[in-house]
Amino acid sequence: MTRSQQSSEWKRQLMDVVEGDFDVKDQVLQKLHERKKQREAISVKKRIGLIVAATLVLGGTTAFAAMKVYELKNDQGEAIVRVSETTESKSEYSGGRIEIMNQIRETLQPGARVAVYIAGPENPDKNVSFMEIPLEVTDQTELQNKVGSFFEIPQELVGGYKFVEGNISHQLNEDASAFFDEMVKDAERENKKVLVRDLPDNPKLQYLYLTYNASKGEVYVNLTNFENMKWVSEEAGPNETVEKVTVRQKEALYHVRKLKDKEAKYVQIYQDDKKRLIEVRTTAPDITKEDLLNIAEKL
Amino acid sequence: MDKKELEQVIKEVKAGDIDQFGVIIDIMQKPLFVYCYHMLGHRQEAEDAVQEVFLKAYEQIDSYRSVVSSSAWLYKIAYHHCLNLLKRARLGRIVTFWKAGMPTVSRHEGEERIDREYLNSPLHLALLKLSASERNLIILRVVEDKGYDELSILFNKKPAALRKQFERALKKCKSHMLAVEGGDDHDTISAVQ
Repeated sequence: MTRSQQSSEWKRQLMDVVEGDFDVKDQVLQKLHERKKQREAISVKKRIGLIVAATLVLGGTTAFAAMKVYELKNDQGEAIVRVSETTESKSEYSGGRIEIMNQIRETLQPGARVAVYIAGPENPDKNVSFMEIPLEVTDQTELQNKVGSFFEIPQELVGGYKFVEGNISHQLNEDASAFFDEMVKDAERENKKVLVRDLPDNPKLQYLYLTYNASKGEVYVNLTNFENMKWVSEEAGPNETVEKVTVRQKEALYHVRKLKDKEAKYVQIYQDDKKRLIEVRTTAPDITKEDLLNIAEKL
Repeated sequence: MDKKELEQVIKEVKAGDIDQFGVIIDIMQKPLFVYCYHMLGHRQEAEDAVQEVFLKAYEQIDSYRSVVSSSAWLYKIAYHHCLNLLKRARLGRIVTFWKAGMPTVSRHEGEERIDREYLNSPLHLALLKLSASERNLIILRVVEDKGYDELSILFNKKPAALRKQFERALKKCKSHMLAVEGGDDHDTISAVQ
């Protein structure tokens, strides 16, 4: 077989996998038309999930009927975490805007940071969203170097849970507000529905997600840097538990949340001197509330 | 359809004409299926992936710049989409950083799903032994005849580095094929280069 014959043969073999009737055009176009209609029709009750100093807001949709609010406060008595009980089941995050954000997210590599502006009725306040794909680090020493003094990463948690990996994401840039304003103006001037722009790196850590493992299952220790944050709000639906507990002689919150096919249990504590919120979390059924509290006590 | 005509179609899509996007789908759906099928090794997943890639491409159409061909731009979206699917399958874990800005960690059973039909061909079997980035290179070079210069823009690597990676991938591919069917390693590598 000559060189060109062999090259052609590889090409033929690779290409010879499409069945004659393969055609997704109608399905794709139908979905695009449906999405367009959806976007035009949706009116949104926006749920503010997280407010950062730069008024970064990610909106979701939910039916909201608040009954009782649990708060985790800092030493000045300001609420850091607000959990509102609702009588309504939590709705899934959905809608065109979230779908677009998810699609963009999937094209990004770890460490990528982008600002996304999506025009339309789902975004009447012209908010710009910020997204960073966390860096994954499996070497504890390397991770500690990146994290610095923000948190001393334990090799092992109470109960024999060993460090597995960590994920880091960083703060929004200080000049983000002006950057976002500019994006909205550009999008309007150029009549763009979706505008995505890269954001420069920022070494300041915002979130640290740590994974630990033992025979009972995995425990996640999630830290939020509150240096530039005001508060976090959450909702607790029916059949979910929120209760006040004590960790290191300070008030903390314990949650049991219903996920699709399992429960997530977690303890939240706020350390005002370090300006950090710590969440000790698991979805493993064998790991108990007491296990989580014991871990939190030593962090 | 020449490049100029295609650029005009993209311009109309950018202006909001969804149906014009059908022209792009007509041209690219089969090549993209070939690409996704060899990246994923699974027919149904590849069919779904092609749809997803087009949906993503439409949503990101404003980010398209004519410095690379539209097909290369679509392949880049497809590459990241396939990587994502492979990563999810391999790691068996999805970390979603969406819920009110807090991490929601969900897990599913990691399971590589490869079609039986895919495993019948020595070349296909050999491709599965390569890393995703190596498979990506082989498919784009062999099937699409993409040059190293264009690939270097797409994947932010130097052409020379891509050439080396391609040669290594070919060698690995051939070695795996030899184990199944026999043949001359050197001849095949030279032929495909």
